[in-house]
Amino acid sequence: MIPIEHYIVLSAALLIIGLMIIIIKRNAIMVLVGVELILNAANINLVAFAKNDPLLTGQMMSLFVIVIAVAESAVALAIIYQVYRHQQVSNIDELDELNG
Amino acid sequence: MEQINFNILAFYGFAGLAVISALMILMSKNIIHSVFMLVLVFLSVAAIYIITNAEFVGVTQIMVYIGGILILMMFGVMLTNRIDGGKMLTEHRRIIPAVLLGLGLAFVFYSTLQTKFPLAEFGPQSELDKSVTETIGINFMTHQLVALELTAVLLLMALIGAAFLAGSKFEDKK
Amino acid sequence: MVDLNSILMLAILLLPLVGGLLAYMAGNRGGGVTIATVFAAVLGIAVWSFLTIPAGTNLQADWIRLGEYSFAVGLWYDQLTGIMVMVVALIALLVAVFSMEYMKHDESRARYFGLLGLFAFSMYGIVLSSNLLLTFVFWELVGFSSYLLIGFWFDQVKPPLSSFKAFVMNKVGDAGFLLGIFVLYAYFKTLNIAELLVLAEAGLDIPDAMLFMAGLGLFLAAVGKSAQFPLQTWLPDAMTGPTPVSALIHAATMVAAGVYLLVRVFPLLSPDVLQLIGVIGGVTAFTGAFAAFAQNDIKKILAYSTVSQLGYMVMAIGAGFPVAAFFHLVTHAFFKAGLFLCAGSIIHYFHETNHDHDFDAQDIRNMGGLRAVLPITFVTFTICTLSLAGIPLFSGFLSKELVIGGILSSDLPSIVSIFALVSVFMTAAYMGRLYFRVFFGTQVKSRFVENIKMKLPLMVLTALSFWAVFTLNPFGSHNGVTDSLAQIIFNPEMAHYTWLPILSVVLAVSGILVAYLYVEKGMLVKPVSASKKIWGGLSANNFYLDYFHRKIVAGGAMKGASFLFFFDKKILDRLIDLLAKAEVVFAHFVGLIDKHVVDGLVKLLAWTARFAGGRTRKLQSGNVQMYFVWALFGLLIIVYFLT
Repeated sequence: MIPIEHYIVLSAALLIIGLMIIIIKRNAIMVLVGVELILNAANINLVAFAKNDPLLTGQMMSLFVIVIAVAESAVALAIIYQVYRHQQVSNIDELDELNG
Repeated sequence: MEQINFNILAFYGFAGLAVISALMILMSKNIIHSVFMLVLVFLSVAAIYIITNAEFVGVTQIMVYIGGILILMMFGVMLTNRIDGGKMLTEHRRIIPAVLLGLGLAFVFYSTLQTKFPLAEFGPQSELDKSVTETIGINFMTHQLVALELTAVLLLMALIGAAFLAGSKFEDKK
Repeated sequence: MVDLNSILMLAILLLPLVGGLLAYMAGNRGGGVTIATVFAAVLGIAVWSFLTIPAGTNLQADWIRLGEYSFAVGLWYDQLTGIMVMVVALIALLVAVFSMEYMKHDESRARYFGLLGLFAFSMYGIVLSSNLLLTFVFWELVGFSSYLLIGFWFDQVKPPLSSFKAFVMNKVGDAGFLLGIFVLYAYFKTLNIAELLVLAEAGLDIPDAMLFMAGLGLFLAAVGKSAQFPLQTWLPDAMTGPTPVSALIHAATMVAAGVYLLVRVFPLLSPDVLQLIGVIGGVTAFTGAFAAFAQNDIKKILAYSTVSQLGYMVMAIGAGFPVAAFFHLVTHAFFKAGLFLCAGSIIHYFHETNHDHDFDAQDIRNMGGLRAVLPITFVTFTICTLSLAGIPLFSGFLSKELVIGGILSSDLPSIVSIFALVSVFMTAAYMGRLYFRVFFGTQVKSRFVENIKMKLPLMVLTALSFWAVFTLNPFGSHNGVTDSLAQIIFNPEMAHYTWLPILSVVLAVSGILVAYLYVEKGMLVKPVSASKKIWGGLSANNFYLDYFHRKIVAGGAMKGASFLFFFDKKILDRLIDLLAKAEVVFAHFVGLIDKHVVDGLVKLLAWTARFAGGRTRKLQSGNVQMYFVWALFGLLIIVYFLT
């Protein structure tokens, strides 16, 4: 029986690493990778807490999260591709036309 | 007892693998390496799901993430970088704020786990009278039906949207 | 719960909506037939329900639950509802049939017929609703669908403007309706009309002022929807919509909704409110009739006439005789719809035969001698006009007698009675003017065969304008309809005036006579043109009410502002000028101090601001990832302070 804290620690670690990836990397695809890591971290929590739930609501929520992650990454990649084609830029911090 | 020990060992192994691969994504400057490391993270997370009695989610994780999202990302990498035989590299910026924030968040989580956690009072692991997949299937078709349908619609919209975005040629205004 | 009666009521309510959708999808070719079929079905159901459903049937469901309060919605059926549903269904059917011919060249007929369905749905909603909340919902829907229909030809200049105007004027009334609903709910914790009426009968425990507010609010709703003074200006403008729509919405049904609402909630209206209602109704009846004289657009004349007749109904409510008001509503619905459809027929004739773009098909100065051209229209128009003028043997006489009798026997100010009687004369006169202008005279053209789709509605409405539909005695106002209504609506005994029918017939006939002499024989030209000089402008512009709205209400604010500006400039500025001169002298002294001490401080401040600005400016770098960093940073701070 694995204590629930272990899961929480693992998901916290993945969350923090994902956040740092989002902040540090310049490449847009890598930012997306960070987002996927964060979603996985959330999923781990959902599945872990579903262990004590006879209805398995947590697992189902994690399935929904996976599906929405697919949709999100497909749209995001399409946008990144379009931006790249339009401006020949694949680094997020070069897209600063809105700066003050 | 042997069984439980093995479970915990496997958990530590996969958890460690996941965290180490994630850290390597963070450190590496090579995009291709990073994406392959992401495969490892996803696989070990899937393994953890399977250890946690969530076979269905684990299999979905493998199929959707590794089979779908990663392929999509590889394509994305290929399409948005000039491929000229050299390494595909990305630069690192804003390292200091990132490290500070990471430490801050870690501290927040650490102090939260130190306090007496109401979550730890959860009841015993519940016994299912059906298999996990069967329970999920039944629940999808009964309690979560509306959510399922909505998700399906959302997915359809996202796919159409993605196809439209990637396929359309916007006028170059320069 | 789901028995036959409920199904019938739901069918009446929902069939038009479904029919509208179907008609819209059936496209330009099949839309008219679809909506007409559906309306015919609804009429059948309405008649059947009238015969079978017992009074007081209701159907109720919870709608919103907020804590311990729950808001119910429901349908209610009694004889009042039944009659109203039948009137609406019949006129809707006739208008749909008429429209099939009238709109046959329009490119977007499908949308038109779909909108008719939507309108009928919302109208039945108002009629059937058992609950003020639901009534309000449908009230708004009616306003909205009327907005869409008035602005049906939105690619022309005027319709969008007038539909907007109608919408805004209606909104003023709707604000009152909401106010009334709020007051009633605050004191009675229910919005069910039947329950409210029971409470009203048992004696209300509500402060008089609040009851006045509630009644005023409900009346304001009727003022907006039924085009009463001073909000009536939207109705003549609404004539930019298709003519059959004017017949359905702006003569028979929607404008009657306000009167219907007042009849429904009559026991809730306090005596003070009734006084106000009576006076407003009188003013409306008089001004409407007066304004109809100087109009040259056939539809505008009818529109002002509608305003005036609605004024009669409201007067009857104010006098305390809702039965009379409702009876006049029913008769008026038939003959006014007939008149509008006649106007539609005439306009259609001109559209079909005269393709000159500058030709105004609605201007009665371009008409004449149509008696020989459009025989059926002529007969219908004659009978409906006589009915409107209140000539015996026709339905308008019966209801108008009832209304005026009610007003005379009530304790309304005597000016209201004078308004009512004068308006009888004026009604006859302006209708006579219109009638002789259009149908007599010299410009005889070749005979034009009206289509059966146009003839049939006209003939049905003609038949319904005879007295026999309502009672066997052509001079007696007590009849089957009013007696059966009196069982469900509060109906006090009315004093009987034997001289009244005679007086009003004399008034009506003399009105027609004056018009005849003026238009046909060319007599009375001198006095008429003399009075034209004095009153013409007033009448043509509906007492300058539009100017009032635009200039006084909207312009008043501007005027006040410019007066203040003037005051500011001439008086305050002078003073300030003097002060300034004194100050200049003083300032030279201060300037020295200023330059060295204060400027230094200001410069320091400016430097600080620039420094802070420069620092914070970097936050808005346009760099998404830095935004993310700051967001997380903020989150950490919040967590820090929360724990």
